[in-house]
Amino acid sequence: MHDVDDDGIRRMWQEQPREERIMSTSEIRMKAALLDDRVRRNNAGAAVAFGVILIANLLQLVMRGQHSYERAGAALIVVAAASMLWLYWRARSTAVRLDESGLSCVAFYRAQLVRQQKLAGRFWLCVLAFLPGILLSLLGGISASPLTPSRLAGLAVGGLLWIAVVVWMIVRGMRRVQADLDELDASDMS
Amino acid sequence: MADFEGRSRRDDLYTEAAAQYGSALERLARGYEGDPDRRRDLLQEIHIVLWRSFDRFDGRCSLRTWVYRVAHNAATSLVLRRRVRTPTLTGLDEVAEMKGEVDVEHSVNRQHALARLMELIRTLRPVDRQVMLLYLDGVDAGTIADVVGLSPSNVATRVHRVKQILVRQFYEREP
Repeated sequence: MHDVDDDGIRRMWQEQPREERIMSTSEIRMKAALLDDRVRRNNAGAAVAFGVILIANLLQLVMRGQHSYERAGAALIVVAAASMLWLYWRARSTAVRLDESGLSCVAFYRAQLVRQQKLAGRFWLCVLAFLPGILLSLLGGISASPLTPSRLAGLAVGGLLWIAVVVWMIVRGMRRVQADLDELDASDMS
Repeated sequence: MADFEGRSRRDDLYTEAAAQYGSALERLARGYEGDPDRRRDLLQEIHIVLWRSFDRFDGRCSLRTWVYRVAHNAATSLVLRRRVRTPTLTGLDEVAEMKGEVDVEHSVNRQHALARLMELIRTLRPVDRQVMLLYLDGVDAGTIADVVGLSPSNVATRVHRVKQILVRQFYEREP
């Protein structure tokens, strides 16, 4: 089997006709600036929209909440949202474009996987930050207008299901990343 | 003045790299993206990242090694971004077990063989994909080890597996 040469397939690969023309450096510079602008606009837009909608809604709830638990919960959610926005902004402003740094492919891949693991860890931080506020708000809402036992049970089951799905997705993602890291370590040694 | 010199050096290096490795970068993009429009976007992104990267190029590795590293890393970022939507990627060992259906020597349609090859490449995990693409591009084992960051013996093993896969997939017919 191994006597057969694979030159034909390599030649076929290398002889593929070109489809794209080479861009001039002024074109590249223009496109890079456009790309930066788009990323900056998207990030700023998302942050502003997230902040405005959340804070406006929650401030309204703090002002008009009927129960003190609800108000306290809403205030905690505002604090959590503000902290998350600040953390996100800090992470963005200190981020290094690793793909421009000329790292070897394995080192780059490993760094990206580790980054994904850290991001998943930050998600837990996010859940922990919001959870007390959400629970207090729910408690306040239930105290203000008591629910029938069946609705309360439905709410509890729905909430638990939602939490279970989110946890399952995060754990699955983290396991996948860990498996990739293990595979990378094993292949690096072989 | 220093900024202008930096820019000029970056532009010069990029122009040289694009002229020498432009077609290799196109082939590399084909190994990562099947859809023509998305591939064009990826190729454009690779060129932009490459142009920017020359600010940090200190000549400690060859221009070729640098170009391949930066391009593969930019493309790998795409694989990781699309991770949620893509099916599980496989390694060379799993692919080696698969039997091919296209005979490149006798195939009337080379395009079919090429399409099959690209499909196969895009199922591979990043590191295996990088080794296979570099091997197909005619890059020597030493440079592959330098680009990918694996030991020369590790690369030699992978290249051997790549050869087996290519032969099995494109030259051996089912009895």
